[in-house]
Amino acid sequence: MSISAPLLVLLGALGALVGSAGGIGGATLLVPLLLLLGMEPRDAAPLGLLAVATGSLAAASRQVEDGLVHHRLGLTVELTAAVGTVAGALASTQVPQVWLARLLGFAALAGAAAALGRSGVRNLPQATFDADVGGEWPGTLGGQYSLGGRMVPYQAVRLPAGLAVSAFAGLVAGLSGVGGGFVKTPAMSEIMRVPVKVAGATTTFTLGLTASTGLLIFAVQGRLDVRDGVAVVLGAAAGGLVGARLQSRLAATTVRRLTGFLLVLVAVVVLWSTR
Amino acid sequence: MSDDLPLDPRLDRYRPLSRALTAALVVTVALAAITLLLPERAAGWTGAAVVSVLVAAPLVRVVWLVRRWLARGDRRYAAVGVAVLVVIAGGVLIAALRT
Repeated sequence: MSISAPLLVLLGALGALVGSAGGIGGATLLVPLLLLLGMEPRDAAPLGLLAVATGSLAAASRQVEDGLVHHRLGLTVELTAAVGTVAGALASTQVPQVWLARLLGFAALAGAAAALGRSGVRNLPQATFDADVGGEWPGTLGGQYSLGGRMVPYQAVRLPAGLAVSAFAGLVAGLSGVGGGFVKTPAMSEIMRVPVKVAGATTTFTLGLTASTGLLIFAVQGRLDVRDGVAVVLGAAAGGLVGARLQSRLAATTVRRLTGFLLVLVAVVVLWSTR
Repeated sequence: MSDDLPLDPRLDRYRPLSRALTAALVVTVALAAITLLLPERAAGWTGAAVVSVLVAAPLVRVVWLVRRWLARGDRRYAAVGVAVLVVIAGGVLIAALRT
């Protein structure tokens, strides 16, 4: 089924806005919506990755300047995610779509439970760091970020578990084109104990790489429809810019709840489509 | 921060990266808008350029980070960055060979 360019712009904007604000990527909402509108999963996946790549690029400048992106942590978890993405993209033509949709639905529910199941803020400001600037600490997986004008230090833990979940996120991304941010952000926040705003911004950075990997493979396979793609890109650019501003202004608990509710919505939409 | 104090150089550490990312976004949006207005045949070229910028931006970002970390002696994470690029290149190569 063909979807009009203005509608694709609107869907791209909506997906990137909520995806960048919640750190779950621009396609987590977009791909299920495209499937509901009758698009084939094989066609929706490349559009999803274009939205992810655009949302990531649109949010990048703001998140880098705010000191929210931990590049070392992002690249470390991306190492296994990239392997998963390559495997998923290569296998995507072999896997029955209904299995994939159910996998996506249950993974989204698990992410939502992790995000909504915790209350309060784990990482608190420490006066020792208040005179410092936000950002990552060189040579480590730790850093600090500004919360209400005060500095919050953090240190990523349980790296092996984080790498394993990241590989699964990459696999899902390569199979479906949703980016995998809805797995990565809750994993980084809840398993690796990274503050949710840093986890969201770092995931947004890694999603750009995941999308690049998937898009290159889809291009080689001849699966990119450029005309539909640029409509999604235009919308996602606007949505990503607004979403990044929202993310830096919202409270950490609000971002976590937003992410959780979005994931429940995505799970319901995806599982409904497989009934 | 008081005006008497020198500006912390770490505030500007990612400024070049931030500017380059903004420039890439502006180019992407401009090319995407042009693509929607052009006739089918010409739109193929500008559309391909949009996808190329989107694919290249995060990869160039990693190269920039690797160079920066190498220059500052952070070899472990520079190696992680290189490894990510190698995995991506390997995946694309496998896909090309299977097509």
